[in-house]
Amino acid sequence: MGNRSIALIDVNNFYVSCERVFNTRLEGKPVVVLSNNDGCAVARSNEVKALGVKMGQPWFQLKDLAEKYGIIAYSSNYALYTDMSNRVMSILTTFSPSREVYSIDECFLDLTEFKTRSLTLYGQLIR
Amino acid sequence: MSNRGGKRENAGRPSGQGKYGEPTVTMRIPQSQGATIKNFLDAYQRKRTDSDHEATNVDEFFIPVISDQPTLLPLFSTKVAAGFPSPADDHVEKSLDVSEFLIDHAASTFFVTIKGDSMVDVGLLPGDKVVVDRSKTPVIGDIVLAVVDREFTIKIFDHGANKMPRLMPANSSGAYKPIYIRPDMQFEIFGVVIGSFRRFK
Repeated sequence: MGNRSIALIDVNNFYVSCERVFNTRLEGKPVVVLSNNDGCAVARSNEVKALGVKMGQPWFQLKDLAEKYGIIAYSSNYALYTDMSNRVMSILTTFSPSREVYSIDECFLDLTEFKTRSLTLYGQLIR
Repeated sequence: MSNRGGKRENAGRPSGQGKYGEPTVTMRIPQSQGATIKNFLDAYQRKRTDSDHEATNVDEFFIPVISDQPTLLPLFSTKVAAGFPSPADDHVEKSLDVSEFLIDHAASTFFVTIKGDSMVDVGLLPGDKVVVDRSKTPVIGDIVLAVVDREFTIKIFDHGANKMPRLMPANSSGAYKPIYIRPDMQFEIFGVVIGSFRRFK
């Protein structure tokens, strides 16, 4: 068996990105999405990451920071994220005959058959 | 006591009827600034009255539910002009699945509810659902779902002077103005409206 080329596709800040699709006002702003019962941060925009907020940090610890820097917090909307994930995964099937969904926002694609073309360009096309 | 003169109830112009809808004051302004201040007030007045008309004419977003089993219903081959099909017609030739008719690419399609009457001339009434496909490339003349200064709006996609985008309403009453996209405005086309549907009952 020869060398295979496997791509891992991962959506940036998936839950935040989903919220931003329908509310472009959130672009460029610090946004977190909180887990069930608004317990802890399960998704952070790049602006929030830059403030040093860690994945899974409890919301009660973040409240002061949020007020100081205007962090916008969303309760998780799993129906939205699941639907958007299904859309992403279904579009990814058009790029390779062999796809394995790994999580809500990660997916492996076997791109071995596309090695004759530039894999970098193909990856950019997928993006 | 004479019943002539004195205060009459409900006499005079009702408050809020003036040009600006609020009480006004007399003011001294420098002579050189007269024109500037007049322009400012005209612009303020336009903004005040325009804000009565929708900033956004889009209500809710919906996710289409695509089932594995298409709902096939018979489609009459003659268009029924609100009467009866002729018995001589082979009336059931084809089957129609509503989802298949309305949706080309489910992964990029959303339904959105229309608010207001800014698009009635193209057959989009308040409460109608429109089918928005993000994978279609917008072309001049298409009805699009656009984002302008972070607000969603459904308008006809057009070009104005020097090829800058211009979003046109479709309401011959003239109550709605075109939106001219300037370089300083946030503008994006979210998707193309490829169809619509509505319930009567």
